[in-house]
Amino acid sequence: MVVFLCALIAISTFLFWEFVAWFTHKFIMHGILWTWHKSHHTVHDHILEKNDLFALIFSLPSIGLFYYFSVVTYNAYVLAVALGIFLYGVFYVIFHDIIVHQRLRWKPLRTSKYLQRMIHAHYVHHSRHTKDGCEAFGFLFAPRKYSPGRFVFKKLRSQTQ
Amino acid sequence: MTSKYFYLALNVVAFVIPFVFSFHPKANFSKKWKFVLPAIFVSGIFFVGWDMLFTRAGVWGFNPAHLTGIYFFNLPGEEVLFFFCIPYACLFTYFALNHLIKKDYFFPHHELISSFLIVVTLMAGIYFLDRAYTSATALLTGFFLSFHMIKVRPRYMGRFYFTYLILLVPFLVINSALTGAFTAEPVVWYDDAENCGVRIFTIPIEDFFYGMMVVLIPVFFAHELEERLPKTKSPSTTGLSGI
Repeated sequence: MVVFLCALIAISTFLFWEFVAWFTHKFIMHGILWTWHKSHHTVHDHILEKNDLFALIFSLPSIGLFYYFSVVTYNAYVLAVALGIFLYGVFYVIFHDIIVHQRLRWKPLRTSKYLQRMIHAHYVHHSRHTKDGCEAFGFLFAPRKYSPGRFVFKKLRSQTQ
Repeated sequence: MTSKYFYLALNVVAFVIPFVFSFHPKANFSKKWKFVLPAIFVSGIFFVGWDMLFTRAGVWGFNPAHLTGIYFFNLPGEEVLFFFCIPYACLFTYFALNHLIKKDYFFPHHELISSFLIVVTLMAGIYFLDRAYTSATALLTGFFLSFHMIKVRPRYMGRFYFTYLILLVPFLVINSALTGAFTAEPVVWYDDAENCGVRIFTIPIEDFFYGMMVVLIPVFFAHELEERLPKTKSPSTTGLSGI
């Protein structure tokens, strides 16, 4: 029962974190913290971006919960929350930073229809480099309207920015 | 003010003016009946079914002093009528406001409003899981709004929220009347063990979300029908949302 509940909590947290990421991306990154996020909408060949600070901030709740609820006290349900956030982070790095933006030069041999749709949606998002007027703010969820006819990976990293 | 026609009168008052104005030539709501009436019927069945369960479980109940005494299974006839008269009046208001006010004030903010409501209702729904009225209403609201935001992604949410804000005025009047603001005893009583205990005047706070669903569910079905039914001639008339 505990394992089942923990799994449910971890999955819910994972889904909820997509909402948190979408919300922050749409209303904060393309809002008052555009000063940080701008670096992510700029073509460059640096290894790091100022925008990476967001990833650091988003990992703090997970790190904090893992630490407090395993070392200081023990609560399996809260650890499930921490795990959900952590798993979202892993998916985010693989999807957003590696597959879409090619910060490491790796791409999957085969892509599913849905993965293509997510990648396409994010390229649509990056088709504009402005604070306002962008669309498709989600990461792991993309509505059907972003299904591409025939999807092609970009060749150069600079094309993905 | 104790009369066995009290609840019936509330239904009639809410229904009659929208009904009369449904045939206004400039904005003829009766032309939308083929979408609106089935939508109200479907959502009406859902709410009547829910109502029967909760009445049986004693989550809420009705004071016979204000009722005519005609029953539909365990529900007073007036309560059943409520789920057809009130949505009719609300959908008429939605249609009329869309006709009168062209500017979609809340559209730029509808995702922010929905996000806020979804987070609040889902959290409240889980926190009050042992209180039937709170959890059922909050979870339904949270899931139905999420369904709108993720799957339906309609153009009408801004207009819906605008209409809801206006509808809060008649809502406060009718619901105050039902919950005993003007009578010695309420028409509808609530078991406070099954709600979170917060009331605005005499109205349980859950009613505000319940009321939102009473409007949004038929609005959703009406729009779906309008989109899916094959278009007949006379494309000159505007859509349900006036766009």
